[in-house]
Amino acid sequence: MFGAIAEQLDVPTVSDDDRPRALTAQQLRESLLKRLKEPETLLIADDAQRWSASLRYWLEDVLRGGGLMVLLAHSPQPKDIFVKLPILELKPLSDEEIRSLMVEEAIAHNAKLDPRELAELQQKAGNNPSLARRIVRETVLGIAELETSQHYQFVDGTPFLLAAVALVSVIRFVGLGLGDKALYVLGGVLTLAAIALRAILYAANRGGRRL
Amino acid sequence: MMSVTHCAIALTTVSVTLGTASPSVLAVSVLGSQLPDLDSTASFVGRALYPIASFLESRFPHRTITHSFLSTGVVAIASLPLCLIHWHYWLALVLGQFTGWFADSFTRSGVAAFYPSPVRLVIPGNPRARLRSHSPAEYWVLGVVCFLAIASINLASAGGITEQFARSFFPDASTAATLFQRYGAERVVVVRVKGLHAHTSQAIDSTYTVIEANSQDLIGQEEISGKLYKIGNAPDVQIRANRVWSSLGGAVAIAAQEQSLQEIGVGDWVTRLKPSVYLSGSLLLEDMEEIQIPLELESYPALRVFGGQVELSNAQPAQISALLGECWITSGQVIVKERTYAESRAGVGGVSGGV
Repeated sequence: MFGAIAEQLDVPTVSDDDRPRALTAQQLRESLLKRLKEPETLLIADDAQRWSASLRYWLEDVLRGGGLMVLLAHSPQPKDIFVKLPILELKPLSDEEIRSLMVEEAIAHNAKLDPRELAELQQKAGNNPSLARRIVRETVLGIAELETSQHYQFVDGTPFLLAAVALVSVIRFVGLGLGDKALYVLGGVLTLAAIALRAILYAANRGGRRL
Repeated sequence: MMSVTHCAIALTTVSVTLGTASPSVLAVSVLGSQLPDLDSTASFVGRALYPIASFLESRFPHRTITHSFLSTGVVAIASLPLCLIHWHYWLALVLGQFTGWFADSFTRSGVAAFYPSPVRLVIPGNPRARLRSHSPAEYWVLGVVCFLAIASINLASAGGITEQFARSFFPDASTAATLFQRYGAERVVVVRVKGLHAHTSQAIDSTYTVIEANSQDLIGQEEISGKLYKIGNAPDVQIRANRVWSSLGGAVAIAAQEQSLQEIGVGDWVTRLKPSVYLSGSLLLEDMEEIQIPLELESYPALRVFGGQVELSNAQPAQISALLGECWITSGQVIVKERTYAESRAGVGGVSGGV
């Protein structure tokens, strides 16, 4: 990684004496630190969440030394360098942009997807451009599985549904208040049905377990 | 999810929540259930309204804008004029539209319920437990929902779930009294009573037409003998009921008239009345101290002397004539009630619910 950065910044990776030797990692770090302090030098680190701890600590040294940097990261851990830099959160791509990406990807693979197919496929991609491209490739290859979403933009509505269903127990109290025996018993039966539904939905949410 | 599943779910929901079996209201709910699929030209409604479906399809992913609380709000506001016809139509459309998209949250892809937020609502969270379109699981769901729809419509057309529940599981006098209070002005309420006679302790298994009811007891006229009985569990009943199965018969029209009587012979007054009327009220007779009315224990005492007057409670002209035919009325206040039955009185008829 240091070698790649040095190459892009024209920082020599060998010593400049009579018998040039490759710099040690420590020497290279120090050289890069000096170089990054110079004006009009900007370090752009993509996929920064993947960088190792030692690289991130070096980035902290760069920051302390006054170097400029932009880190691009997906869901970074709130620790070390990531808590010391201001965060600029990018908005997800809009539906139109995702649709354009999918059309471009289809054209790139000499395929044509009609709006119905695109609308159907787009719901699987959410607002994830990589996923959108991959789904188009899968469709072109004929291995796409409809109705399977792999993005993480979802909320499990089970607790809300159970809370709403639990409200049927109100019928029991209405029956009690009105002195309506049938309504009271019916409310009780529906409350038990709601409890049974809760048990079923909780069981369904536990996920698959092998026998 | 298939269109027919959406229809069945919407129909059941509207029938249960509104307690209606009205075909027009249910048809509106079915129409509403198809509205969310307007974002696909492959759907029935998308083909019917192709320009709109094509427009939505070219701009939005499937199950987003039309499958959201936002869309339900728009439909609710836009369809408000339906309230001018009847609020049931408006609610049926809104509920139908809501269930139409909410049911899709049980599918693999879920729905963007909170649109414009792209977050998808799924139930349950485990994707393996969610439905796939046209899968055997969906056909099972469709079968169960169709059964519920048929049951719900049948119950709604017979007076509603709670009423049928009470009639099925609580066959007692109070259930019959409730039924009479609800329908007695328009329909004949017939009860089959199993119990004991309060004074003779004989077993009773007979059918009666209810002509009056309070919260717990009934006054019923036996269909064979035409005698009146008080049925229930109060101390003054003639028939202590163990089981009272109630049902609705044919239509009945009730006409009531209040009469003030002054200086008229009982026989003269009674001949002016139709023989089938029921009389309730009080009569002050000449020589009241000489009036003796035998104590009636076997059946309901329609006439009795109380407080220096003769009190009538659903008495019939023949009874009055037999006991007081020679007497002279000094004054009296009476309600004359006439029940006119329609030709057909057989069977448990349907009570149309809703609109």
